[in-house]
Amino acid sequence: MKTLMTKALEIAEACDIYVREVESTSVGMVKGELKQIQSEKKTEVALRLVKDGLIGSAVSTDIQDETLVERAMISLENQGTEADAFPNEAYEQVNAFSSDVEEMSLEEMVEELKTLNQRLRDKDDSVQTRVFISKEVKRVRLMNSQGFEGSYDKTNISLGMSTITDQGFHGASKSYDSGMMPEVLDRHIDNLFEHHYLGDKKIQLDNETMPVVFAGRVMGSLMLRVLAGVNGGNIVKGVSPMVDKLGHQIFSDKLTIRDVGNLSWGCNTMAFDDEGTPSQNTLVYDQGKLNSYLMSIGQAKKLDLKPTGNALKRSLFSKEIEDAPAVFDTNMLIEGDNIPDETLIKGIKRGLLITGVMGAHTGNMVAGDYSMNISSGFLIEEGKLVGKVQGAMIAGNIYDLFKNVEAIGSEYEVMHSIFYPMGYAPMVKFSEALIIGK
Amino acid sequence: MIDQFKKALPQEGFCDLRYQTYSLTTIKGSKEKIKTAEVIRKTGGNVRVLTGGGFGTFCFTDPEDIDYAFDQAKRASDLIPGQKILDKVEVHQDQVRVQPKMDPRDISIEEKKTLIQHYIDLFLSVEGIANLETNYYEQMMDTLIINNQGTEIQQEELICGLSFRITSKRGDVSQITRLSFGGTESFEDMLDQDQAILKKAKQTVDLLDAQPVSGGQYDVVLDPEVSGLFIHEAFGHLSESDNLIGNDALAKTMTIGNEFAVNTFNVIDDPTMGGYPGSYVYDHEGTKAKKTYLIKDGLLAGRLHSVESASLLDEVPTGHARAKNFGFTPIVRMGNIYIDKGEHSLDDMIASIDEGLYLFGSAGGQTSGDTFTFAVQGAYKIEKGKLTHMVRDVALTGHLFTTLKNIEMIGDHVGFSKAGGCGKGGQILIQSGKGSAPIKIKNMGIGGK
Repeated sequence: MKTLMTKALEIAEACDIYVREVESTSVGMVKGELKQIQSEKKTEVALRLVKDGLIGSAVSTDIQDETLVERAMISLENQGTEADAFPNEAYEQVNAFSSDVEEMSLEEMVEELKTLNQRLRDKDDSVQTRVFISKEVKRVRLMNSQGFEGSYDKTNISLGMSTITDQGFHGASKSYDSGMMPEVLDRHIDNLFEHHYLGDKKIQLDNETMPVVFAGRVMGSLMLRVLAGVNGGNIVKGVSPMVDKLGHQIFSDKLTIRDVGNLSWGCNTMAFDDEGTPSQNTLVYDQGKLNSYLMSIGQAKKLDLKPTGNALKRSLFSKEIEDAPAVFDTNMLIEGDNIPDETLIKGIKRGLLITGVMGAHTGNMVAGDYSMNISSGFLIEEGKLVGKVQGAMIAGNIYDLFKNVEAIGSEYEVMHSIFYPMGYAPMVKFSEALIIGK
Repeated sequence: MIDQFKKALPQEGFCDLRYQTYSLTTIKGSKEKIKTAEVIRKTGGNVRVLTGGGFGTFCFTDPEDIDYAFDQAKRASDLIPGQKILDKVEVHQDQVRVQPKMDPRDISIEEKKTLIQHYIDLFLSVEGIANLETNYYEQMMDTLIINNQGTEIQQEELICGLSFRITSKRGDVSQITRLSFGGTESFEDMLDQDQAILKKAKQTVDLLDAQPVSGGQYDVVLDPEVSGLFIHEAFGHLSESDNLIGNDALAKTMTIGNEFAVNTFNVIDDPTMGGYPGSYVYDHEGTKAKKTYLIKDGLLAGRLHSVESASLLDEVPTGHARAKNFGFTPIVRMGNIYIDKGEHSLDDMIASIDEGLYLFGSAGGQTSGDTFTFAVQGAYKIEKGKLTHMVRDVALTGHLFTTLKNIEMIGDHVGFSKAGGCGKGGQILIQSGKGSAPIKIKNMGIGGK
């Protein structure tokens, strides 16, 4: 890295070099049979140069790539992005690396799957299932010409189980994402099969406004809109409804939202972001009141605020380095009164529990709009799940919906932003939402 | 390097290597300014070994890791019980070089920026346009595919395009539309687009005056872009036969000859026709791409295959196994899927509806099994056989097989989307084309806001 920096500084005033090495393995099992096993060992390098107040960047898979500096200069000369000073702040190490995960062999991963599969068969061997496990070890190094030299290692385990319907389609599912091996509890398996069996009791709804509970795992579909609203880029451009709303009561006071980059063993835990800003615990909405945006260094400077450690070299649909750092979630967390999940469901006379949606990436996300197919949702009557709804949609705007938060559950599940985990949430009950049925 | 790779190929079972140099040039604008210009270059390989009951695969970026990659892939394959045999491997030796009519690589970044800035200025000259996200992409992949059956293919794949995400805003109401040019290996389509830009800008502003659609069931006419998205999401993904492997129930549903739609309904996937986002010669397993009828005269006629799925189902490999880049394993993907033309004019289709919607412009979708959903940029109300006013915030959902049966009329011309793009298995593939004749569907589920 130092050789590259020396070469870069021969023609540039400042630079930073980011190196990410990833080793991963994924194993899947369908109906008790192992399928494909995929592994990778790859390196990505990103160089950013600053000269005459402008910044340019280049990406490669080889730190000795002779064209890196030249390409970064072409980038610098052709773009209008003003350079911001690279940071040199002290950062703290975080609990993100598990040597148990790093040392887990392929054979041990297969054994984990076999054990989980057997537990599912023990529950009901007439139901066909899929299980998967994926392990990742990531090593990140970042240095810049301001003197910053940082590194951290990160492990991650993704584990999942799902059922297959009699028609061969996706049934119920449950997944985990963590820095260390997650624990699959018996009641999670019970819950998986309960949701699967309810698929046999199909229910069609009319258009109806009713209480709705989003399971933690599908809160990501709504949190994508929350994230777009507090994304410093959208604030600077003036397109977010949250412009000039810091300190305003936006959501129900029952809802608190954090973005915690330094969460121990979180799915996206990091010591510093991809610009070198130390990771933080950012209170985004404090009991419904907008407390902070999520910002890169450049955005924070324009807004006269402090960066939050959310500038990442990824995109919504890719974790490869394809772009300049942009604001993304680290570990988003939903907090509230955390009442027991059973109590939350029991209190509903007629409502809907949503455990799966499609179309989370469509529509005007920055404005908070959503219009999604309910791919997995269960009608609640007198506090009990009575059947699975068919062909229904839920549509509205989060800035209306989140005013109606009535209760927050207690068991946290991993949320996903399309392909990737984005943090953790318990189930959230909204007092009313529009369901479009027949 | 090829000799080194060939030497590393194990001779046992089946194995292959895809080694790629991947270059992506992007010029991105935000609002009135061009913000970034980058040239990303990555090189790496992906090996697959089949000596056991399933593939072991390994991706690497350091060429020195080639032997390690094959060792690890073999170790993984051997862990999978059984012995899977591929008997549908096509062997080819070939070189494919792109020959664009107007090569984007011959046009300087400066010239591209000048053109893009002109379009940005044009958009923002229209009152009511509040934000604009601009993305020019130019992706070049130089791919080597070799296997231990004798295949050796060196193939260039080039695609460039320009896309805009346009936001209009008035008070608390904002609307977003999209416009794309290109989606081919030639830069030509990016030129002379002033009129298209002004028309889209006006439409985006006009949507601010539209009322949100009321959710419910409507008879609808889908424009070619929306019909293309429908057939891609709802049926195309189900035609990807890796879904059928080990899934007897789905295989039964997808039995060739099953009746899915009216007898004038035809669906084709054709990567071999040039000039669309999903056009290519060889897929990433080295199989030659083939035009494939998926539905012919309303009956299920075929499906899209990898070598593995074709071998398991004893069908002809169609050349549809592709990967985003070397970082990913090839999976079954659509090339250029489209609903072929029928006999009705658009006017006849609209005239046949007493109360309904004409939907225009795709805005992304998703499918799961036999259920699909997608959003559109807007719609016109159809009242007594005529288009009246615009409505906004329109999303659709439905059950595939019911919806196919509800297709009543098929338009007499086919249009293709200029923007590719499809996500599956964590891979966004921009080289995926879709098109269609406009279609009329009765009783479509529409979600409002």
